[in-house]
Amino acid sequence: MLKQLRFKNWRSLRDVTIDLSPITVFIGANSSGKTNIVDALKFRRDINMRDLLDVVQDMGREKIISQNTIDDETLHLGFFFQETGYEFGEVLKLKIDQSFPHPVSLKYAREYFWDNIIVNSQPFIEMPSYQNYPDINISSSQNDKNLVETIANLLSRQYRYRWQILGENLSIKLKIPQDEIGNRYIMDLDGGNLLFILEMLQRHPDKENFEALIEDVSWLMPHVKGLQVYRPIHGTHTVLRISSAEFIPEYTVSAGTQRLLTMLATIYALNVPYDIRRFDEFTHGSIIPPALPGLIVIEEPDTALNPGVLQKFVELLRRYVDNPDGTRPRQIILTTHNPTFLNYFKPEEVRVVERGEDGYTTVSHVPDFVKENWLDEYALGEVWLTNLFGGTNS
Amino acid sequence: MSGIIYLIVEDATDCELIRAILSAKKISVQVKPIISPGKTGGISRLSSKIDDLIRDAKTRLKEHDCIAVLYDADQHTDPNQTHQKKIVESCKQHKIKHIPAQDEVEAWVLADSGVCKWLNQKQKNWDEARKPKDTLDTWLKNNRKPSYYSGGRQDVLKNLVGDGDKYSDSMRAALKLLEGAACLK
Repeated sequence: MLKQLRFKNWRSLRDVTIDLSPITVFIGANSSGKTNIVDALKFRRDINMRDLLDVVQDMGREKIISQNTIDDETLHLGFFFQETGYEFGEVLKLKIDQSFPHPVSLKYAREYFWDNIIVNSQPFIEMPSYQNYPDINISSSQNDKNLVETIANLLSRQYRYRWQILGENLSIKLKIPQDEIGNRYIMDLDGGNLLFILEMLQRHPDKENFEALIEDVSWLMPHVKGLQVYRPIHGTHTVLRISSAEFIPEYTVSAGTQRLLTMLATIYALNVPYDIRRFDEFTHGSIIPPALPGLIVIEEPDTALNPGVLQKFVELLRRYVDNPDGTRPRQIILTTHNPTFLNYFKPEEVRVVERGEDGYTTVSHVPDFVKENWLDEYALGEVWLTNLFGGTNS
Repeated sequence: MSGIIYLIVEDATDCELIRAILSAKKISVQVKPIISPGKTGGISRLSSKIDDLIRDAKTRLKEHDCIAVLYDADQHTDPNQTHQKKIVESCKQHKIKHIPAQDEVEAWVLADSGVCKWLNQKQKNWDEARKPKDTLDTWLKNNRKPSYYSGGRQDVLKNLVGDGDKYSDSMRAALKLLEGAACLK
């Protein structure tokens, strides 16, 4: 499980440590910094998969560093994990030369942690142009080399194959040209590859996941009786067919149904063994098993969902996270503005994101007095609207 | 250096109104609402929760911040003043400033020269009037403006010049109270 995030000089997060739970819900006013937290996770995942300089350039190098930085303008991104019996993590440090023209000039360093102790600290080195962020660049003694390699591999697998991040603005396509290609396991930030993931689930020899997905969608939206990703033999397009009484055309599928389907497909994709030999030419690994912890990040999941569905949706999320037999450990991070949605979470799962007068973001837990004094009589969303613990637009 | 006024109110719109008046008077201070929870009940809801609200609002206070309670006096609709008495008693106990608006806080808007000019009315004291909100709404309707209850409020706030205290005794008393607050020093 991703246990803690530590940020320094990342956008509005000037110096922030965030403890995470199996389910964590970030609430906050518009522009409070919730998306900056999600973007940090996306940034870390992306630099494992793409050219680091390109990722920095794409995000806007002048936008990723706080306005008034601390620690010599070094950007710190810390990710700390806890698994059964051990803890590990890393702090990435980036120095980006703001004055240098394209291509971006940057230096990076990294610290690896094992059980909260630094086991390897790399000095800053210049980033050679156009390459992935190196997973392993070990300048440590032979004694701890194996441990550092272990940490690096654990982290790399997590970021690359086990982090699903779904943004706020989706661009879902239920009909795509047959020659289009897309990722079949990791959902795009905008959900644009939904059909590829659904098709993978549908075609997998073990039908259990696809059937369970349909069952879950139907539980929340009873008009959905079945799903089929359909590639006509002589057709030009692949389409999603949803059945209610009969198959309905893809262009009539509601925004809420599309969004729900995308969220659940994102979660279910982690339940399928991922054969990285087939899909990743650079990795000499094997199969990523569903038993490997998975992180699902969804921005504003309640958008386009009827309030009457929200409680059941949260129940479903809890079912995915509870994992009684330990075979599919999952963690969920959400953001929301919706007090009704918030009502279904426990105060200890909620983090309050606020932007101060200085422009910097703080992240805090819901204070104890909320549980002690208010929740007997009011729902958490109602107490949030009092503004007693912040995070509202008022 | 000014701090933040945490203004305990029945409804967030009351806080917006105070914010607009202070801004029109060029008093530079942040006003953040602490709103009594639930959807119905108005002042009875506020008075029943006032001790809890004050106690928990105190946890947000930093240096230079302060807490005040704003409530409608409702003298015409509630002659016994049971809820108002409870609020005053709690404020005294917690050493918190309490600001009664006669009869509703909109009475201060009716006394504002900017609003009066905009809605073709004569400036005067409305502290003794029944339901100032409804009066304001009637003014808006007579001038073919959107209702105060559906979109007209924003236009009203834009037209405030913040001089209602020339006529309104309750507004003058409220401003005097706020001026003495730590968050405005």
